[in-house]
Amino acid sequence: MLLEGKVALVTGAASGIGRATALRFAQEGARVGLLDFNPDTLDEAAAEVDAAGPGAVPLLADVRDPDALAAAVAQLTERCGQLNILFANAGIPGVWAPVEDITSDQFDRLISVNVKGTFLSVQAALPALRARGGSIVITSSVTGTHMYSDSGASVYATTKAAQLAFGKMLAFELAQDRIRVNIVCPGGVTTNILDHITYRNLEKLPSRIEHTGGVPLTDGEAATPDQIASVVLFLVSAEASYVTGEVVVVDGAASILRG
Amino acid sequence: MQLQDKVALVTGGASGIGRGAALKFAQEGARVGLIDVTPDALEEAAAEVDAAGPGAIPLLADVRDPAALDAAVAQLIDRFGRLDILLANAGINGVWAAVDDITPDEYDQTMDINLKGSFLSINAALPHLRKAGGAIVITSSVNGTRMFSNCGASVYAASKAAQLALGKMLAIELARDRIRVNVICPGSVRTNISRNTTHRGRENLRYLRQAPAGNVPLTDGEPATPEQVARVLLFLVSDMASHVTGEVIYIDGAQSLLFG
Repeated sequence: MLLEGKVALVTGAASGIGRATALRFAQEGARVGLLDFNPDTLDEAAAEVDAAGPGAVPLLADVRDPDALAAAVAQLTERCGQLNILFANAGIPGVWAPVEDITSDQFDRLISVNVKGTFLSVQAALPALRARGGSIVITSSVTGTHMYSDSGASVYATTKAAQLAFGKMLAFELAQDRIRVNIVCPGGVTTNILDHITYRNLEKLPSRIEHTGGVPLTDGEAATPDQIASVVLFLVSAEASYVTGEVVVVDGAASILRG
Repeated sequence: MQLQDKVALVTGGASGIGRGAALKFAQEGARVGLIDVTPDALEEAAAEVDAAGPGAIPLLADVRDPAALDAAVAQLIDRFGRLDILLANAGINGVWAAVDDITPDEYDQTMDINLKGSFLSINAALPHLRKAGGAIVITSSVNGTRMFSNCGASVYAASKAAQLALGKMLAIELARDRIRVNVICPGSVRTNISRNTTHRGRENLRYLRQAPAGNVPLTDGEPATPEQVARVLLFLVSDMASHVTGEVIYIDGAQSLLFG
């Protein structure tokens, strides 16, 4: 039980990596607040996480809305008395298209969910985290940090690079409060994120190089969400007590093969 | 018990990070072979690790000697029947001095132990790791990979950069054998490595640095304990990191964000 007595907040918790991580946290003894903007899947995810551990609360909020985030954190700390862990994970892939085909509004939406959402989630959680030290993990991606060949993903990649830089700056800034900040960069994961990409006019772009297998460690198999969750669990736990400002790539060596 | 039924080989197992890792692996259920060059410290470390888990053996060998490494691995296999984990950790700081004060022999000693020693240890372990897949971790450093301001440590830093590149190349090469290869880069750790460093004329080098609040932001300057490094190593060799390969983990309390 690596997280006995801890309280965690997970954003983007209704599906994919967020949901698997919330579940893993609960199995390790943490009480978990699951934050998402999709009420149907959120309740279902929170029920699953609640059944697996000492307690879970669904927190309906959009990470772009500071008031909603503050209310969610207040609800969680009221219920659980403290907050030790923030997993800032909510994100969208947005529109993947040639740069001239991406509108200003589409750009704004991607930046505001992925980057500003991370910024606002950290701000909302910080007063509670400062009370006794804690741990933040941010979900970035190999795209924009180690890989630059996903056709059309220029804005998504930009958000992921920004999240990484933000996390590393915060690791330094929050070290004096004994808050560790680390970043996880997954490669391909079996989530439904691909279903949410809006592809447009990709035939105009150079096709990326396809290597046999793509993921050397698994002959192409993507990671399961649980394989990412176990890395996040490690990072937020006392097992990583001297690790901060660190970026952990979880991609089965895909980004060594393909830049 | 994350390493139940596993067998691990740790080079530089008699002290510091290697000893801490061997102990942690044993506590998690692994049988462990400890390689080192100092017989007394090795016996003592192996006895401690043996008492903490299902079994440990001291393997006296110099990582520069391929025949000695082969013999050590053979002895380990003979005793425990398999090999799943290699921690290529043996290393020295060597001579820290102005570049023109480092002799070719001193250069060779640092490179042979740190870099060639990793290469030879991996080669000795590989036939056995290939049988059922496994995990290799190489101990590099923040010096030479992210920090380049420890004036005088140029050869040490070069060896650590080379070890990192070796590890990442091997991650790809060995992926098909389901052998994961990762690299750790510790910052300052409470070991005796700095006592074994030969400092020569470093006071003449410019830019020796010191931050007002200490060199490690997370701890106001406190170095990591070998235990803190061992926990990261345990994570990397365990199933918790089953999709992590070719990766470099810094364990430095944000020191390398403060100093480049």
